[in-house]
Amino acid sequence: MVIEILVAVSIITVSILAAMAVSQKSIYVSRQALHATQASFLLEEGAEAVRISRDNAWANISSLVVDINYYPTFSAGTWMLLETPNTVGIFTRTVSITNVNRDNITKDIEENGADDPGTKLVTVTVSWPEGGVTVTKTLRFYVMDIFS
Amino acid sequence: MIKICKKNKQNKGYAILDGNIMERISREVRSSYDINTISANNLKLNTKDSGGADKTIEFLLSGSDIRLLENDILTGNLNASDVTISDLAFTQITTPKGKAVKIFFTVKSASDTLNRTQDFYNTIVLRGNYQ
Repeated sequence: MVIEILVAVSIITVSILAAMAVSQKSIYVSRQALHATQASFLLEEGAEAVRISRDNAWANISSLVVDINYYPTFSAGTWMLLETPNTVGIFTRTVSITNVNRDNITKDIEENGADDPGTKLVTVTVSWPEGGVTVTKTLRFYVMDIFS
Repeated sequence: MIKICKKNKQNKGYAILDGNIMERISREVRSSYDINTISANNLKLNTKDSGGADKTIEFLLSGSDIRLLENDILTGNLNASDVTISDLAFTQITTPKGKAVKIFFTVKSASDTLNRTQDFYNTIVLRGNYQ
């Protein structure tokens, strides 16, 4: 009789603990989904901030130092890329630029080739803390001097 | 256990519902060719319908809802009935080559007893406006 009671109590306890673990995980996943959605719009905004900087003047892009983190900052009615760090709530957003090379003959973007001063590779990164770890999402695209 | 279930219910829906609102506003701004009128809580865009005819799309904050109007006719609310919008802000950005709209809104779920709010941000360049 005692053994049966022990087995029953064990099964009930394990079932309750399992249900609690599943619920806890679902809270974590739903919060993560919310943050991922907010981050995806911040990534898009970061890309648009680069485009707006380009539209204001190509010099805003060409004068950036490669592989340095810049922070999109809304100031004086427009987006700027500044070195002064800023955050959006729990999110940290950075923009970095790297030079782009093109093949001398095909003019395709290649690792080896001549530097194309009218094209830059942009990396927008949004990171935030989630359950003790830092989650990072990245968006990469080329921006070109199409208006000069 | 009850507390966890309650918390789960409170979190439910934020990402889906509010992602949809921002997605819809962003898509309409991107495809429009000009800003008709803009104020903090109101954005009216000049755009084209699928047949190429001119039409207007308007987003405005009415109470705690974001309303969508097409050609000045109310289409409906973008937010679900259990989601309230406590803040909405549109800001025009003008560059030598075109225009963009900075979008911000704050949402709250009616089922969240802790009254937590979530902020959403985006900026979209009007693709039909490039010169």
